[in-house]
Amino acid sequence: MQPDEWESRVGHPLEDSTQSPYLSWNDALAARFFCPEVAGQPVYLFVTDDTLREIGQALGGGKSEFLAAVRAGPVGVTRAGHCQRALQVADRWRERGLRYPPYIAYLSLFVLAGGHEGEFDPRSYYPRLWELLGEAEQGTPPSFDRMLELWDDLEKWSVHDMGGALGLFEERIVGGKIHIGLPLAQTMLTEDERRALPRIFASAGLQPGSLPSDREIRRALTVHGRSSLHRRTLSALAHDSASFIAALLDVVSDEFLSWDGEIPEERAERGGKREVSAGLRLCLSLDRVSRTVRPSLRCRSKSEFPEAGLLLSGSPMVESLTCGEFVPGWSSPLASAAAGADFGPSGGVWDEGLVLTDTSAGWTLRLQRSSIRVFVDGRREQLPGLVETLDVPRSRSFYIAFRETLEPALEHWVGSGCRGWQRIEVTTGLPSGWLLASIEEAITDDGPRAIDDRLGFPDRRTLRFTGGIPAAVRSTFFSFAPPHVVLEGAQAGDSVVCNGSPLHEEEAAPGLYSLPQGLPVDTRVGIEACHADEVIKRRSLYLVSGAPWQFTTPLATLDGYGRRLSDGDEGIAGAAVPAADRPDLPADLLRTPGLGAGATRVFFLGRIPGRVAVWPREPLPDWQPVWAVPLHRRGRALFCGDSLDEAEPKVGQVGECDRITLWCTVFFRWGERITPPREPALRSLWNLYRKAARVA
Amino acid sequence: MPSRGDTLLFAISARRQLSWRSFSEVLDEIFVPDGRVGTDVKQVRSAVAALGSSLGHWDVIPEGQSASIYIAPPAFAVLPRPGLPTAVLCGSRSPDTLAVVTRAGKAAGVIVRQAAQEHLHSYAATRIEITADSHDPLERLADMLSIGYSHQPAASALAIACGSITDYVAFLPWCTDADLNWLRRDFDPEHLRFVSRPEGATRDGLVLSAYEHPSGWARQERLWRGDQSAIADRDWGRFAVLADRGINVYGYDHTVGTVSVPRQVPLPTIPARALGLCSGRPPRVEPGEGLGSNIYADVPAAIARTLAGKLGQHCDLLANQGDGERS
Repeated sequence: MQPDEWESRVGHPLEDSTQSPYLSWNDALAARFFCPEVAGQPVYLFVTDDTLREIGQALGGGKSEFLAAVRAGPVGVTRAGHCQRALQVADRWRERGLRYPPYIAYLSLFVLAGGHEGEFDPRSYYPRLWELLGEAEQGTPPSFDRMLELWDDLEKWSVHDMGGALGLFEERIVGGKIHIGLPLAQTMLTEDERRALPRIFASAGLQPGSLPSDREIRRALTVHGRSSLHRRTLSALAHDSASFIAALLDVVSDEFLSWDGEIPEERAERGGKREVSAGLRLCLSLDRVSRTVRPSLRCRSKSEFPEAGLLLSGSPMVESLTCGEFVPGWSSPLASAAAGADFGPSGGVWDEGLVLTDTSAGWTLRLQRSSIRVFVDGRREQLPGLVETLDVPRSRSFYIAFRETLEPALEHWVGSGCRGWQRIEVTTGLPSGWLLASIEEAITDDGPRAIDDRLGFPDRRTLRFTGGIPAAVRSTFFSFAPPHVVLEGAQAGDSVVCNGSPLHEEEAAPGLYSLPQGLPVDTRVGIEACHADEVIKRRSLYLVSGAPWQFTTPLATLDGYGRRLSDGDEGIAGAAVPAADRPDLPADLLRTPGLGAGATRVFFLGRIPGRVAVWPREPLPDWQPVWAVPLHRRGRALFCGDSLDEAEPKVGQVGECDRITLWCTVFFRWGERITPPREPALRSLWNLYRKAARVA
Repeated sequence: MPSRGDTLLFAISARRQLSWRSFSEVLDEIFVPDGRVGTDVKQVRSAVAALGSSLGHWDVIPEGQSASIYIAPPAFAVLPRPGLPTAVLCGSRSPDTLAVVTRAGKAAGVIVRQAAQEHLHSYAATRIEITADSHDPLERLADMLSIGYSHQPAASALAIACGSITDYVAFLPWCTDADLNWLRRDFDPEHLRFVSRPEGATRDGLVLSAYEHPSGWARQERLWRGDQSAIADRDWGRFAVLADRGINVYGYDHTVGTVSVPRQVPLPTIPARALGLCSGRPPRVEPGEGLGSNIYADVPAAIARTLAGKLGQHCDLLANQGDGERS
């Protein structure tokens, strides 16, 4: 088929939609998921039998009709396989002016296949797909590995082309399977279940920003999600294969990482009032010389702190406490609301944890109970001293505080599970019965995990961006401030690649990778975390060049008090001020560039011989001088005229005799002691004045 | 690698308009603790927003309980100084702006200079200065680049356009509403800070009360005059009280051309911008009593006097006024 023929048959979306069942289904599915109502929100292609039934009402059909349409494919396709047809219809689709990507129906088919039920091995995917299509094939469909290109393109379309206006589709791989992980991730949770997750996280006391272990997430889902998760999900958590559970936990972990601690459902119930869950962390100021430790508590939050700070109460163990935002995501140390002194947590707080609330602000802060606590250097978080962390760091030194009675339980791990164990003698500051040690590196997490099963190496790898200036949409950054890539929970043999090229880990910051210079702008940049040859995590990044900087119409204007004027009213905008009829303010000759405060005598010299004022013995002149010459033993010629256009000496005109003499003396007799201006034009002018003085 | 100040300005220029939350998010990404700017991130955010406003890069506009940042159209602000006309670039810019201005400057016979300002303020953008033999080449350059230009120094124009404290107080929408039952603190003009007042304490003269809703999410400032009150801007309100008590906090040294204002009483937007655009540089922080002072440089006497008058302050010229030899 000739390109022209292709264009004529597939070129116009409306024609195609009415003529081709494939494109009708494609556009109906696209419109179902991508719409203005979900602008800026994550979108999943949650395609199930019910979805097709619902969409099919308008199209006069259901699942069977959808499958028939996909089997037939778009009008004009020439390839044989479904994946190859999907690639063909996707080829340069933007140039054909289509409203939606024309391969969404194919991707929907792949999602539908993940949930297709029948006599299958729970881990199998391709047999489901073939049966769904009613085709007696086996194995991976040809070019299925290239479907990743379409998922990439769908993300690019929603994030970059549409700027999130119809929702944001983000590639997520679950279960460590790059090709089938994407379709599977779409239907792991329903929209209702995703919406319920923040409440589940908060009820379970999970702290936003610190990814809990798989066990904790699973426990949170099964215990606190009983009333809000579907039976299918709860049953899967209890009975399904390990790979399905791992995939489900992958999806929930991704949701957890984007959770800022707020519970939107609660907000609606509380009449729009925020309900925020945040963490409390112990911090230590350690002085090894004096063998003292000064403990404090800080709030760790992914949510915006109230402007006025927090007023916390709720535990019989502590008085009312306050704190405010200190550095991004961290509060100042909690302090007594009455006395203002920093709050020093007692042994009871170390052991039992703490729950504090600010009821009027709707905040709940939790310090989890534990008899073993891990601390890391706070500099990474821009905090002084040591800061508690909720996991055991890999490949990084850390500190550990624990109850003395647990020493025997840690003995084996101290001997073989970590390197560089060193007990730190502390005479004051630690609660009675607690010990402190430093560790160069943990080889295993057996010791701490045996005492507190929440405390171990991170269970999963997370690939995220840090730093950089985000543009308006998720995953987009300005090209002048790109982010760094962070691979958390990395294991030996992991690597990170960017557009196929390996990135180098920062020596000083394990897990942190800098992006190379000169990455393409305004297109997708693929970041992948790999282990051996397998891609285990994948994220996209878009670097945008920004908007044009030149524009003339102010976005807002101010009056003389800095108050906003009505749109379109003339007023102050930045440095621009509407012209006024009032006269300008007079120039200040003492502000002549180069005239330092140390000048004790300044000769102001005008164009006409005799125009001279010696400041400060005489007042500053009320005529326009051309030169300011600070002169003691030596001097400098400083231009203070309005412009060079009318600055030449006027030798024809003369003033008083003694003033003429002084004028000439400065230029001619003392001229050798005066450094002329550097700029050639000013230097020429100065020389002109010297000549004029000789003549005069 | 652009400086933090440049990165911030590029980002705000690209986004054009940011809510306070978005501004905070952008700033947080480049935040590095610096006691010279503020003791905590909250203070740093306010200080950086005020800095960009005082250098004419953007406008900070209160909106309800929050504020928004609007990037200003690019403009060359002529500096109020004798000698060859010199201007600094204010407002919107991008990473390629300097190259564009430099290239066009060569064609127009204009000298373009850039100077990093991180040593003056961690979040100050690079200063881009243009100078020429007269205004004509500068105006030509501005036309070529569609950048605003006026012969009148922006600082003078702002000083003239700035409202006066007398009018501010006179035209406030005074009412006799009952006092709010929120947490209240009053501005103490002697110590330049807000302090709690005993319940039932009488208000003498003009009093600025700052209220905070118990939830911490709402704040309001009201000026009180007897039993009348009016919602007021915090910065103007403080100067209104100072003027009412005849307390002078505004110092001008004509010899060096500096205006000093205690950091506890930040200048309102327009006077701060007028002083900032005398030099195009951020004010220097001078340690001293309380939080120290902001020192604005290269301020001509007429601008210093005009602004002092608008703020209800006296402009004591510390320098010798030409009645004798300087020692």
